[in-house]
Amino acid sequence: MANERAATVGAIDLSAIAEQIPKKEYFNNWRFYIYCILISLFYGACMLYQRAFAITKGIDYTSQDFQTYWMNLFWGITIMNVIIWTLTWGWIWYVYRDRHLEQLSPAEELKRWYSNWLLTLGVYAWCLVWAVFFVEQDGVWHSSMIRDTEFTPSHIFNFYLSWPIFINFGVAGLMLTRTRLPVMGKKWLLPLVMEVAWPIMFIPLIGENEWGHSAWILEEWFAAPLHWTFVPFAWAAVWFLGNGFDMFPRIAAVLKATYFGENCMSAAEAMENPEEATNPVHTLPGM
Amino acid sequence: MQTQTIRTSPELQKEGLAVGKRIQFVAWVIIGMTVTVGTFASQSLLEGDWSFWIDWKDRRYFPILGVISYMLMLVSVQAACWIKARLPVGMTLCAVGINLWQWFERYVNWWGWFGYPMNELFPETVIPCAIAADCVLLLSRKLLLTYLFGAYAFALTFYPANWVMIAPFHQPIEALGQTLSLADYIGFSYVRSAIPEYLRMIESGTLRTFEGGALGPAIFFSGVVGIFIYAIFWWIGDQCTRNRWVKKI
Repeated sequence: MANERAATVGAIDLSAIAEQIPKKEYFNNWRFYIYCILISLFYGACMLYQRAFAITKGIDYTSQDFQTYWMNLFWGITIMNVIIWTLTWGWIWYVYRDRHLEQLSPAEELKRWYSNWLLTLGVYAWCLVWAVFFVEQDGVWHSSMIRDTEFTPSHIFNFYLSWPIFINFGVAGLMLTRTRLPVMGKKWLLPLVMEVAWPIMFIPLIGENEWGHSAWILEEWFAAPLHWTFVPFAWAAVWFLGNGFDMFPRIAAVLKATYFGENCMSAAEAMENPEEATNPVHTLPGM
Repeated sequence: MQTQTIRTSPELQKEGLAVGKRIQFVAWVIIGMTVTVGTFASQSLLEGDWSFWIDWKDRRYFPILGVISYMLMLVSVQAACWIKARLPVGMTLCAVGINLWQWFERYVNWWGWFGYPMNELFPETVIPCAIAADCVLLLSRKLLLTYLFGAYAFALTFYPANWVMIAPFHQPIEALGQTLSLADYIGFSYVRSAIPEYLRMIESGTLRTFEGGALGPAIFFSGVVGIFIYAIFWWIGDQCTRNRWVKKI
């Protein structure tokens, strides 16, 4: 019952406040697990397809089988990527955007921290796990096969599917944080921006990598300098850690304001001064 | 500061604690996953064949490349966890994560897809190295001492920590009229694109004149390299986690 959820409130309407406070069921992590399971089913099917047709149909680019089983798949994936990017990013930026962030209550902000920031970046992270999985499959493939073209079967699920998908969720997470959460309303948190922008460099680097491979068969020595150009972009995980550590204080502050009645900066103030809103000193005991 | 004067019931506060725990749990799962695969991608692309194959785990390059390739990210994670949360276990947790992921993907991909035996491609471990470095940080609480002794402890521990796993494969055998190590024999039996370059790169230079004595210098050299890497990547870990906001991107 609403009245049981909030005991006493000064001058503010009790029922209105109680309605705002989210029930703990809202923060049910099963949503995250279900997203991960669905993504895993999709990528699991991709992995089985690769293992079924990579060797039997994917060795010779000039064969009709290669065009049927792999190039058609490549073009389908590419078109799907463009459509998904356009729809996801366009919807978040132009439709889902909250244009009155300064009026957001701590309770509503807490829900958004969970759904729009944490879970979106969680899906991003899970897609990253699968992308790295397909990178490793590419390593296995090239340790066993001589390269055919840049569309060699392991590359289609690696470079052209799993990487664009994790980039999609990364940019979506960045946009959601920008358009749905007050702290990012007027300024950008650098670790969050870099965490998303830095791995995008993987895509342009495919050009450098494939250009190098067109001249040398460097799979003979996997850890060749040609592969080292990818390495710094894997360090984006440290930016991810920074994003988490920097945002936690604000989440703690709105959580304490919502459930414990403690003070916290309003949404309007957080928009103007995100450095202070995310300062951990405000969430220390007794502060 | 705007003050919200909402007084809440004990039940609601209990619910708030539960919500906080749920958020923290999933946040740490997400961070753990990302840091693990990020470290793995960095290490795998840098160390590559030296990590994949038993016949590449030699006495000259493996101790150096192994230390460098892991240390980069592990130090950054250690720095972030220590500076932001005073957690002295960042490096160890990351090392455990990457080791679990490596075993998983080598079973599923390398053995599962192309059938390379696990004896040939088991990953090395850096968990003891990470524990040593974390201990130096925790006990000294001094950055300079951690650079000097933590990095050196990490590097010096690396080869002994893996020696138990590698030693059986360095036993000499005779096959097809040749004397070679068991690791080499496994490598020749499972042909990969990585064999010819290996022979040219490893079995050349002064290794033979040292009669295998290159291992000691390699380990101590890895310690020297490790100190510099430690300092650089501690700084990177610090910079990447700073609370910086920009108006335009």
